[in-house]
Amino acid sequence: MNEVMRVSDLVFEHSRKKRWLKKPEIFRLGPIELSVQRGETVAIIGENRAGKSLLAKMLVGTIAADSGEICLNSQRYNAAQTPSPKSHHRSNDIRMIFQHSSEAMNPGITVGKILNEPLRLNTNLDEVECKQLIENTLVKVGLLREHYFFYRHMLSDGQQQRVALARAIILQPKILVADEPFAALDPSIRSQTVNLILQLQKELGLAFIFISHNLGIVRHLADKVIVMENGQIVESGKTETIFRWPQHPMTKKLILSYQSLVPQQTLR
Amino acid sequence: MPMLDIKNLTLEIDTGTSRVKALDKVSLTVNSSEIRALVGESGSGKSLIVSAISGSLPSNWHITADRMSWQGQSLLSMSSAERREVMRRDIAVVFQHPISALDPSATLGEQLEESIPDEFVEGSWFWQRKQSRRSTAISTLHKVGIKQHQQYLSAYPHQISTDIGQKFMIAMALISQPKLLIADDPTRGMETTTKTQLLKLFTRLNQTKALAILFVSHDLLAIASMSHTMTVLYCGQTVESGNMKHLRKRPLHPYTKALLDSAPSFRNDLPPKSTLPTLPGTIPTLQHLPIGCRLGPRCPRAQRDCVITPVVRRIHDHNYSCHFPLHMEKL
Repeated sequence: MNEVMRVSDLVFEHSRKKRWLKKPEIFRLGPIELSVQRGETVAIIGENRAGKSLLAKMLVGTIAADSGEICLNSQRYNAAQTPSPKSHHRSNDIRMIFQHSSEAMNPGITVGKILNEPLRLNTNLDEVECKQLIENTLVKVGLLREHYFFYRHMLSDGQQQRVALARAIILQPKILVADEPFAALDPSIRSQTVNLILQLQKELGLAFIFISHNLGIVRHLADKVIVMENGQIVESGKTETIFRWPQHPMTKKLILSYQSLVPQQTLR
Repeated sequence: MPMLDIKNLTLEIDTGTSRVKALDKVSLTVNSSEIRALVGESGSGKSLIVSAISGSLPSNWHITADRMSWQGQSLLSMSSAERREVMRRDIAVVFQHPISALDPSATLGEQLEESIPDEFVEGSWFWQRKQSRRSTAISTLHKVGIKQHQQYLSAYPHQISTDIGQKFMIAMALISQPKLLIADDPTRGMETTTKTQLLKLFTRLNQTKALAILFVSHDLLAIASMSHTMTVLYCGQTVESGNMKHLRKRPLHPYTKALLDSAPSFRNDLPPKSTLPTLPGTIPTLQHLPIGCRLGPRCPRAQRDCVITPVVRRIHDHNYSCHFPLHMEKL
């Protein structure tokens, strides 16, 4: 089948123990059902504290869920378990771009070493093959081979974003998860990144899950939109459907506030 | 009559060995009761202009300007006491990073109450004045959209989230009822609903109280929905300025066009998943600025003449500086 990922009954609970005269804080995420096809783009939208970033982190497995199951390529993972060394496939198949891509990079080592690390930990390639692969990936995201020897501070914002993207795709994943990849970027760099992702999706057949506040980009990129509120998926569906006929009050609020910003002449 | 009038502002930064021109002959005017947008990417010197206006400059920055005046008074020849008075009463600034711009050692309530000018405090006894301060603070907070004032007034800056901090900065700016509000990227990282709310507040204040706003941002969607005029900045040079409607409809400078094209929300003819038009390359750093027109190496229309800095040309209210502007064939 074309389905690369299926999530069922994913639940995460955060509760602080009840203390004297303090209400217990409870945050409950899920249960979440989700399925992603090959080459599909899914956008997660919602207000702050809706649990979007948490969901993204749970999908890649950096945070263990309390219960639920994630199927990747018809391989089942119990999401409640902390990942064991055996689950290498999983980190190969799903990769993440973090919110602040520049801060998520080690400033003390070169780009080449940054990209070498996932290879060293997850594959059995020897040094020559590694270097070959790194250089190919750098070219693929639109950088030069020479950038192998650059440090983080020598790169501009857009280039750093490209390195983050290179690090994510170097293991040839099936799914890419990104937490607000466009938020910190300037308009012209942002459209370059959007183009790059579109092109990579076409070439590699990547499925792409991303979180964004910028509904213009969501509308442009996504096939499917998920709307979250208070840890629940309140609405999901095709992008055009969601944008034209929002059903849930939360979705309506988001879409209306977006459309009130869009100049009327362009809507027509 | 322009309230804030800046002509040919040049800001140079000493880097030890050489001087870098971070701003190169920038002109900017804000008329009374208009919303002017100042647009540019990061590193274009938007925030430098803000700090030049507010007078908060480090000692190794040097300002020269043909004219920099506030309601007819020159800001450059003013004594620092007068300058402070202008900044306190007439101009309010919302700085870029709210959490770091707030005093970490005082609660938000104390800081907000401190910025209320004495004339607005009613009552003659200290307890009456204290009550009056409190109620002014709370009503301003409600205005900017903070509902749980009790919780946040007694909080310290490190305890709040960024969007609350941003709203607090805006409340602190509005509480002294200024004539000009300078908002440096107030909507950065905000979710759409909060952003719309804030923009509505700005528009309302502009209409009811004739508050002039200098809106510094690169969020074109927000700008297009509220501002009347726009100035576009690239690498410390003013590229184009004029009426918002004219700029949107018929940008003359290639950079303005690229900027407008980069927002997919402006185009409904764009099919989903198509590639967006972009400028090649990235924004140059201050140490490696190209000579002449600084857009030169990235510009699709660049020719040999572009190594000479273009002069500002003017058609009605529309200023642009480009040797080979777009849309000129039709004229």
